[in-house]
Amino acid sequence: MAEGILKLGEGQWGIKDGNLLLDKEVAGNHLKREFTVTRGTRATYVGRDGLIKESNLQDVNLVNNGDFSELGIELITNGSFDTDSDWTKDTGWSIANGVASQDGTGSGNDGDIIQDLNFDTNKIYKLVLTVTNYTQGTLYIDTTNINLNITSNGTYTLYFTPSSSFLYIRTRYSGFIGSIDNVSVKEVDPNDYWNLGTGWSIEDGKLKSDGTINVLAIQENVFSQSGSTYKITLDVNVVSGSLSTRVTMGDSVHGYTTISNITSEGSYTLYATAVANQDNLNFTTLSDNTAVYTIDNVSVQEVKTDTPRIDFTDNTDGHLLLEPQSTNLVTYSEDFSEWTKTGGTTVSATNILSPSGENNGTNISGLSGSGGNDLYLITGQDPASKTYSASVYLKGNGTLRLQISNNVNQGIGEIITLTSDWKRHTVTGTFNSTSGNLSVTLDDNGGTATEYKVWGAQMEQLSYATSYIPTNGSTVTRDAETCTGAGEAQDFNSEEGVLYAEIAALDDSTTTTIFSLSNGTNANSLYMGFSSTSNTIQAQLVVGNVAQTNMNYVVTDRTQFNKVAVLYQNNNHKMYINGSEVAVDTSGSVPSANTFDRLNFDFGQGSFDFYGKCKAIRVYKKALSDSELKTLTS
Amino acid sequence: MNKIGKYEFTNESTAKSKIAALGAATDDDGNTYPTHKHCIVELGNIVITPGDYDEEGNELEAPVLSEMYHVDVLWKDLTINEDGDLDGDHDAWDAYKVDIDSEGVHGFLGLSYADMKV
Repeated sequence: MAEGILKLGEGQWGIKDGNLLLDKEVAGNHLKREFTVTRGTRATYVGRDGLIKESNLQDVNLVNNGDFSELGIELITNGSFDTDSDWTKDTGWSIANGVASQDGTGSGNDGDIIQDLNFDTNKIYKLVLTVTNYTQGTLYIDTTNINLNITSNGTYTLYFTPSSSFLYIRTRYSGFIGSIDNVSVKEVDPNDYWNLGTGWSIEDGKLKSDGTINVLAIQENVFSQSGSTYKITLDVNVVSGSLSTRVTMGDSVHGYTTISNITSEGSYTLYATAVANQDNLNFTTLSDNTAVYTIDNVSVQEVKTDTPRIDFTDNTDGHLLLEPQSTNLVTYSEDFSEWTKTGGTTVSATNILSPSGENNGTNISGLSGSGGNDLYLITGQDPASKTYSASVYLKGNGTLRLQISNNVNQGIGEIITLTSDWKRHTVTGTFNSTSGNLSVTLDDNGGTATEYKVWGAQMEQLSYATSYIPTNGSTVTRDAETCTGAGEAQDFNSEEGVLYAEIAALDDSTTTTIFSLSNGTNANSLYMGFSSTSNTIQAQLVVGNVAQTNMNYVVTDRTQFNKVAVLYQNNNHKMYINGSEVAVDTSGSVPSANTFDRLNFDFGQGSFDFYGKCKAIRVYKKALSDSELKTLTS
Repeated sequence: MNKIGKYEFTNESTAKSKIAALGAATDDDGNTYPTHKHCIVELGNIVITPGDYDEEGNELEAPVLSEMYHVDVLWKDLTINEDGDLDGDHDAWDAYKVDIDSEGVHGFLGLSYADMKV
C-alpha cells in the first residue's frame, strides 16, 4: 500500500508529556505527530488491567517505600547454624544439628548468643527466628531486654531499635530451654526514605505511632512541582484510643500547609496543590490524640491536566475515548451510608474490593425479595420531560431492580441479573411532563438477591452513561474533551488519498460528531463521523465552502465499532464500511495541493467535536484500489 | 489558565442570555452549539433545604429551593494582563458572581473551587 501513512491506535498507543501521538510511517521510519488534548477537569477510564483509573494521574508514586515493606540485606551470618561458627555463645548455648540450643543454665549477661551486626542505633531492624524443641521460658533481644514473648515452637518476629552494634539473643530469670533456627535480621526502610520522630516506628509493614503528640514522620521531596495538583491516598488504622492526626506538606523553615486532618480510621483520598519550597510530606500526631495508630499504602501522584484517555472497556487493544461534558447528579457515588435505606436494607461492609482496585466497595444486605427493601438517593432535580441515565457497578447473586423515578408517579427501571464479577448496569429513560424529584433506587421489588455489592453510582442527563464521575457530597462535572492539531501540510495529500477509521458512537442521538482533515476551517475539509440521522455514518468533502461529495450509509448499530474508509480523488469518491463499498460519487473536485494541514477530532475549526470511541485512524497519501479498501475495512 | 466562578441570576432567562453572549452558532441541522470552550453548568434553583420523605420516597415536605438561578463556570484560557489582572470572558459576569467559603453543591472533577476561584 501507499507510503507515508499516518496511523493512530491499532493497539499501539503513544502518549508523550500528556499528548497523544500520531505515528507517521515513511519507508519503515516512524515519526511522531502530536495531538493537543484539552479537558479542563479530570476524568476516569478503564485501564488495561480492567480497573477504573484517573486519566490525569502520573503512573509514578512519588512516595518511596509507601507500603513500608522495604527491607535491607540480610545482616546475619550463619543464621541457619549450619556450622558452629560466627556466633559468640555464653553459658548454656550450643550449636549442633543445624540449630542453636539453650539448656536453661544461661542467665542475664551470661545467657546470650551474640553476633556483631554493626547496628545503627538510630534505625529500626526486623528480627525473625524460629523456635524448636521448646520446653520453657522466653528470649530477649538487645541489652534493653525486649521480650520476644516465646511460648511455644513457631516463628517469631520483632521490630526493634538496638542500643548497641551487637545483636544479643538472651535468656534470663526463668531460663529458656529450647532451640532457635533461621535467625534473620534486616534493616527496615534501608534507604532512609522516612525520617521518624519520637514515637513513630515502622512495624509489620506499616508506619506506626505510639500516640506521642506533636512529632512528625517525614518523607522529603515529594511535592516538588509548585502549583501542581497531587493526589494523596493512604490507609489509617486505629489500634486503640481516639485518633487525631494531620497530613501536611512543608517543613519548619518554609512553613506547613495542612492537607487534611484525620480523626477516624479508613482509606483516604486527598488532593493538594503544592506550595513553593514545601516539598515534604508529613504526618503529625496532634495534641488531642490518644490513639495508637498505623498508616499504610501511602501514595502521592501528580495530577496532570489535558491527558488523553485510552480506554480498554470490552477490548484489549484500547480505544481513544472522547466524551462530552457531563454531570453526575448522584452526590454520594461511593458512600452508600448517605443513601436512604428502607425495610431491612443495611450497609453491612464498606471495605469491599471495588472496580477501582481500592477497598471502597459497599456490601448491602437485608433484602428479602418481597420488595420494600430499598436503597435510594434523591437528587433534587426535576426530571420532567427530560432524559436521564443511571448507572451503577454491582456484583452478587440473584436479581435486583435498578430504577430511576420522579418520586411521583413514574418509575423507569429494569430487573438486572447480578454477576460474580463487577459489572456496570445502566437504565435510561425519558420522563413525562409531571414534575417531581429525580431519584435512583436499588431494591428487591421483583428481585431475588438478599445482598449485593455496589460501587460507583451515577446519574446523568444524557441518553447514555459516560465514564464514571466520582462524587462525595456534591454533584460533579467532567469537562468535554477536544483532540486536535496533529500533523502539518507535508503529512497529507490534499489532492488524493484515503481517510480510514475504526470508530463507535457513544449513542445513537441526533448529534453530529465528526473528525476531519482540514486547513483549520470548515471551508476546506474532508470529514467523517456520525451524522444527525439515526445510525448514519457520513463523509463529506468540502472545497471552498462547497460540498463536493456527501456520502451517507446507515449501519446496523453505530455504537458498535465500524471500519470506515473514504477515498477522495478528483471525480472519484468512495466509501467502504466493514468490507463493502457503500457509496460512490464520480463527480466532485478536491482541494489544491497542501491545503490540508491537520487532523482534528472536530470539523477543523472547533465545532462538531468528535465524541465517541476510536480504535484506529489511518491517513493514506494516495488513493487505494477497491481491493485494498475492502481489505482495509474488513 | 483556568478558573472557577460561581454565579447566581434572578431568573433563568438572564442566565441563558449571558451564556449565549459568550458565543454560539447554528449548524446546518439547526442545532445551536457554543463557539467558546468554557465549561458551563446550569445548576438552576438549587436545593437550600432538603425535603422530607417517607420510607417509600413520597414527599412529606417539599425541599426549599433557592429563588436564584445558579450557574457554575470553569473558565478556560484566561490570561494575565500587564497590570496583573485576569483577562477573559469572565469579566462580563462579575456582577453575578457569588463568593462562598465551601466548595458548594457542585464541583468540577478533581478541581478545587477554593484554589481556583476567579
